[in-house]
Amino acid sequence: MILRPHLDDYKIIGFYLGKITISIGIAMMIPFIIALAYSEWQGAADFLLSISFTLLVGTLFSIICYTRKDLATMHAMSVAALSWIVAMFVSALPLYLSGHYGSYLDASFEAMSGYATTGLSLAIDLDHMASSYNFWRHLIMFMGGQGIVVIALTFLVRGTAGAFRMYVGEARDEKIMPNVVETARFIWLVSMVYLVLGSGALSIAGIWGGLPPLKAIFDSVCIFMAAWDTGGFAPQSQSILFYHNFLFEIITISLMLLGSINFALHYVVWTGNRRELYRNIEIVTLFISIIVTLSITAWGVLEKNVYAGSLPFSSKTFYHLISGHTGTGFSTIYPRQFINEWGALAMFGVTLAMAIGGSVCSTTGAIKVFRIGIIYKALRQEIKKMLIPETAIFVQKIHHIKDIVLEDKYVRISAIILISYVNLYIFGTVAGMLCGYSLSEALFESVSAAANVGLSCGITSPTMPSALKIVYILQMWAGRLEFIAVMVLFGMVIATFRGKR
Amino acid sequence: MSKRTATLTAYSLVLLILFFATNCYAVVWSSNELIEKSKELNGRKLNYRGELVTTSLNRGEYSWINLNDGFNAIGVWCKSSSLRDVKFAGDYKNKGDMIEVNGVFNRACSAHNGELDIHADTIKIVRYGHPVNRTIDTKRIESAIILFVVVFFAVIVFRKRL
Repeated sequence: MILRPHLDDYKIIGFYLGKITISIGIAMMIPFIIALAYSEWQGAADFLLSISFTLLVGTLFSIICYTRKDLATMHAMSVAALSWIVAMFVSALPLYLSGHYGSYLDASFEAMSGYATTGLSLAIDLDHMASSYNFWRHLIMFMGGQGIVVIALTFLVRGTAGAFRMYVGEARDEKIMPNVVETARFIWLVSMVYLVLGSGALSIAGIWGGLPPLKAIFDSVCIFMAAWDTGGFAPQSQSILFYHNFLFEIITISLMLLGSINFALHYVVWTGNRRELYRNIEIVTLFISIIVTLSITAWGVLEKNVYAGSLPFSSKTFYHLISGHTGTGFSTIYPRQFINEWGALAMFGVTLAMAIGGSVCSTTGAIKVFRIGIIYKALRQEIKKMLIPETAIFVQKIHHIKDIVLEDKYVRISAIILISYVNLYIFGTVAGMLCGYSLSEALFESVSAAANVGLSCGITSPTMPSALKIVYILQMWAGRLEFIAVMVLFGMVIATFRGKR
Repeated sequence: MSKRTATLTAYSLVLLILFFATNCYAVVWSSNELIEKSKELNGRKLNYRGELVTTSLNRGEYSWINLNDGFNAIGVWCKSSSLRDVKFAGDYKNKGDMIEVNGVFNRACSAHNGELDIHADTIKIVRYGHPVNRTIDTKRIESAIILFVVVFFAVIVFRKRL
């Protein structure tokens, strides 16, 4: 029997949604300052309007739904799922006002693509976009990668048990530090250290490559945020191709790989345990997965005989494979080149890499190598059980920070999420095919959206059907939150209408 | 065939070839055509025209410029000296110079890490760019101030609830 939620349940959700909305309003002050610094007066006015509106929405939520009660699991999951939708709507406001989007739906698509660290873009005439709006796109991506809830946890919400439930609702389940707020702050610390290092390296490469110093620094910060959070937005319409800079490609590959690694693993390595890098199930699975998908992609590209010489061939293939596998979406070729030049086999290799993704508790999307590793180990365990005598006891272990006995509950949850992702990929593919695209195109774009990658084969554009834009928004949202929070939210909506008092 | 007829035919042929040659040379390809027909156009000398975006990337004797024709921006590798007359690069504050290049199109340039690019022989500024005047929408500023005042008082009055 499902119980209808009480008024207090909605108030708890509304109160925390208000807090999160206020934190987004505060974050908008950064592009507002940038607009003033770059003398972009229209941008400054748009951000002032957006800040006021967002703070008003957040304040109203908090005042009307004021409560001192802590979050239960149902509330926390609903807050996590709903906060991404509210964040999408309010964050789309300055983008829409910029005039670079055909409709509010397009601006919302861009905002969700940023928050979900996808990187698919519907911006029109990006090369003429003001720096403040462009920075906002990247900041959205950075906040989404860290987690909107993580931001609220860091600054506005007390470290209660309910706070941890919200954190879990955002597809983060590792308690790196004893307290969830300390964990959120550690995630920020790691990101800030890499921000300084990564942006510094990119700035030097940019200046060496001919960019004016101010532009080099601005673009480096933006690209760092997109690479570290495996997002894939870029300040220019040509993505990384704009820079014509091999050094840039090498640095972004390193950042993408670092961003795809579990924050818990970052912590362990930072505290001196470097051996973990060779033993961890995620790293081992990621390595094997890269080798397999790279081989398929390389075979496909080789068959098409596009690139003369081993360096162009290997760098193009490796770059896009890593960009896809880590869920980033940076590109150094034009979207249509996937279809016209790479062919079906190479696209399949990249699609497979995108579908697998990076590590759990990182900024990547998709099924994730940890779950693939667990399912592989479980399969091996089942086969071994059949080969050894029935009386023998066989214990399968995995190594993730410490040795863990592979229990059925781990296998079950991994399988559920894997199946959910496969269904989500199929859902988007069918939607794409219904809109008239071929199977390989629709599959590629659907996996890219649902796995929060951002590589495009040309479907994503302002002229694509609105229904498909909505499908991709739903895919990005559900894919980023890994279903549980979204399912709880749907459950709560159903309980509202069909639950017993 | 008489000698006169043969001469006339030869002249006609030469004129025909010249007509097609000059017209083909004048064809300006769009970025979409370059991307879609890259196999067919690979290695051919052609014309492409687009707005210079953001900045030129100086690499010593040569430079990279990115020319956007409204659909995509294409990378062009050219002599740095050929960019001396460039006045504006397109960004938020400026409309960039419209540049036409004539050069060799590469589907996957082996000299430049497999990039789709054009190696320019000649560069011509078709139209100079200009600063863009942007008017500020005062209604947005008024709305922002009103909303901000409302938020400010709401925070003051209900601060214990936040």
